[in-house]
Amino acid sequence: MLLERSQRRRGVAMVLCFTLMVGFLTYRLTDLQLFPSDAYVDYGEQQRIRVVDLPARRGRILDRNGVEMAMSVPQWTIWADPSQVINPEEAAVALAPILEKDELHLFSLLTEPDQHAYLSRTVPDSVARAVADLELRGVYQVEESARFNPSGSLLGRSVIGSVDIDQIGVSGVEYLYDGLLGGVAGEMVVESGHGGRTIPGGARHVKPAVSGVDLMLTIDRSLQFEAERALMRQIRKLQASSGTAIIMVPDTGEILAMASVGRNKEGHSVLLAENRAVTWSYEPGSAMKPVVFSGVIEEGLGQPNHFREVNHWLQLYDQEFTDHTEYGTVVYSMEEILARSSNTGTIQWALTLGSAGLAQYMARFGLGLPTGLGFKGESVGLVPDLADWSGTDVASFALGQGFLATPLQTLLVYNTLANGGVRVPPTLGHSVIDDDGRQMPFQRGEPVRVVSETTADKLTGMLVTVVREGTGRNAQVEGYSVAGKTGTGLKASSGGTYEDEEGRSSYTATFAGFFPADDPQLSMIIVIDEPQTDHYASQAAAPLFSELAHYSLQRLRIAPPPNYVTVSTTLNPELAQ
Amino acid sequence: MPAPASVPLEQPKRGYRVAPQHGIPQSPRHDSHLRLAAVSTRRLVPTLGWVAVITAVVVLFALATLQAVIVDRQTNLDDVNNELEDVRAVNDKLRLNVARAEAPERVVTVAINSLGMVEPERRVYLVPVELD
Repeated sequence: MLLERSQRRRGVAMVLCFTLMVGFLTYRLTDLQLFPSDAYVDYGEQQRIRVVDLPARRGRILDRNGVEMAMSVPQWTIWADPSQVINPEEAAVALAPILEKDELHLFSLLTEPDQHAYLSRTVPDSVARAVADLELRGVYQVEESARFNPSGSLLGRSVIGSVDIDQIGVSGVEYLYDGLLGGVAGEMVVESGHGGRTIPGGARHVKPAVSGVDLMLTIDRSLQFEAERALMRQIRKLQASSGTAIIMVPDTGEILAMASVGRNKEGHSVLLAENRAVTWSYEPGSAMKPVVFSGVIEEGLGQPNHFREVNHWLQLYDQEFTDHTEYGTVVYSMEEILARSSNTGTIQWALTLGSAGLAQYMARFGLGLPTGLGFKGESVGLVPDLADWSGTDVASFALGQGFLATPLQTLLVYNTLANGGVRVPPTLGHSVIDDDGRQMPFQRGEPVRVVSETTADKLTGMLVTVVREGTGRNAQVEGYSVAGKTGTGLKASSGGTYEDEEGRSSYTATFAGFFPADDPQLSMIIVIDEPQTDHYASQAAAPLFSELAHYSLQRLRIAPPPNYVTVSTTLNPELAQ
Repeated sequence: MPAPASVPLEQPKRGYRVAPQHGIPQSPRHDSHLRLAAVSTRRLVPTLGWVAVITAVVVLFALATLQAVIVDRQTNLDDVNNELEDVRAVNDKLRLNVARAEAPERVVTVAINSLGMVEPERRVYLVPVELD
């Protein structure tokens, strides 16, 4: 009897305990499921919710014919979680030859207190495979984009520019059009389970990345390549310190080629990363004389066939100006003065135009002003305010000395004359191509009339004479009429004079012009800085102008005008008869 | 001897047929083997219960199957997306290789070094003229 009662009590106690337990669990389960704590919700979301960055594809840079000049390609980045690396010393030794890095450097990275250390970014597939084969614990790979110039890392280097490791443009076109090329990164928020697998039906929010557009430049890759090659050859030949070449379409302002060559520490000529065509300003010398004569003709103060007495020597206040040869006193027409590049003759016409007139026309041609290209580090040159001009400045400026201009600004003077007196802003952007393949041209800058068409035509005629009979004969191109002008400029030394301590002078040699002269399709400038073997522009710059002009005309299939058709007698003399 | 109990006329004796009574509504005819009976709920409830259970099981099984299909499809979708990214990467790399192969620097190098070509010192172009 007592036993039965005891058993019954124990049974009741067990049922009671069990009921309490079930009750507690039920309460806890209900509490968690129906009235969840924020902390648990957050904890759960941290485990499930995954934010995936969706990087925007950086657009390609194409030349005017659609050839890739820069493009982004996925590469592997090797990184490590040092807390997971078992033996950092062994890992560093194994990785060093593959990643081509110092063992000690890798060891320091693998022993960092952080949980993330980049070992090598954007490595080729072969390197990534070799690292994966090592099967090192704590060493991982992730895909990142790298920027390549498929035409060779140096072609167009100064124009294309570069991006940093995060694919942000830092120089050149990459910087100039970074907003278009870069696109907008997106992100995806998903619920994921084991192994990163997406949980079906889970929370999902996608903000898609907007790819950067493809940018088509006005550059012609073949012309760029040839310009760089020919310029490097000329720099070597002249033992010059650097050089620049620009080829443009004058009526649209499109830049077809823009080459910058310099010398490295070993003295070898190399393509520069700096675009000296726009970042470097210099005293252009006689290449600026057309500005003086444009002003004189436009103001009705003289005509190309107007004569005046010229002596090879001229004194203005306390300063003497001479021509490079002594010829006494002669009578030259304005056209002859330009063809012979007479300094004293040009100064006389500049004095006729006056300081205010010269200052006005220098500004109208864009000297001392931004070109509108917008290139990073672009110089605007240096033209003193008229109020600061001394008595002899009008003479110096007429000769292209005493003020600074970039090679591009100098070429724009000739573009203006080629365009019938209208200045067109230069551009490197041809069009953009979106993801759907739609091509949208760039908006062009507003053209500005500088001189009348009549004046421009007269100046063109004078510049043709320069190449046909004057100092620019080495710039002639068989079968085509060329208008252009030489410019041998003196370089100021660090002491502010045109001679160094040993009495030696440094020069810049320039030849700028356009062709065919009666229907200008192309314009070009060659600037050689500090040529050693021959500093005259007619010898240093004009021959290269001719060579590149010849190539450009053939490359762009610009036929010679009918009245200039000539036949080479080299191969078939019978055809010449 | 007591009189025998009278038998009411409206209740005929078993085995006798009552003569038709005209003007009096006739009651429905009753067969001996048929009778009206109240429907029993004791049997219906278990039946409905089984149907509900089976239906619930089928629905749950269908849901589970559907969920498995969704998971499988999502896995496939993830795989296809990854494959797409891989193919895009390969495509970009191949495009880079093509562009490199067409680079003028490489063309000149191959022409000179591999094919033994030389650059002319001066290019000569012939322009056709009309000969009278």
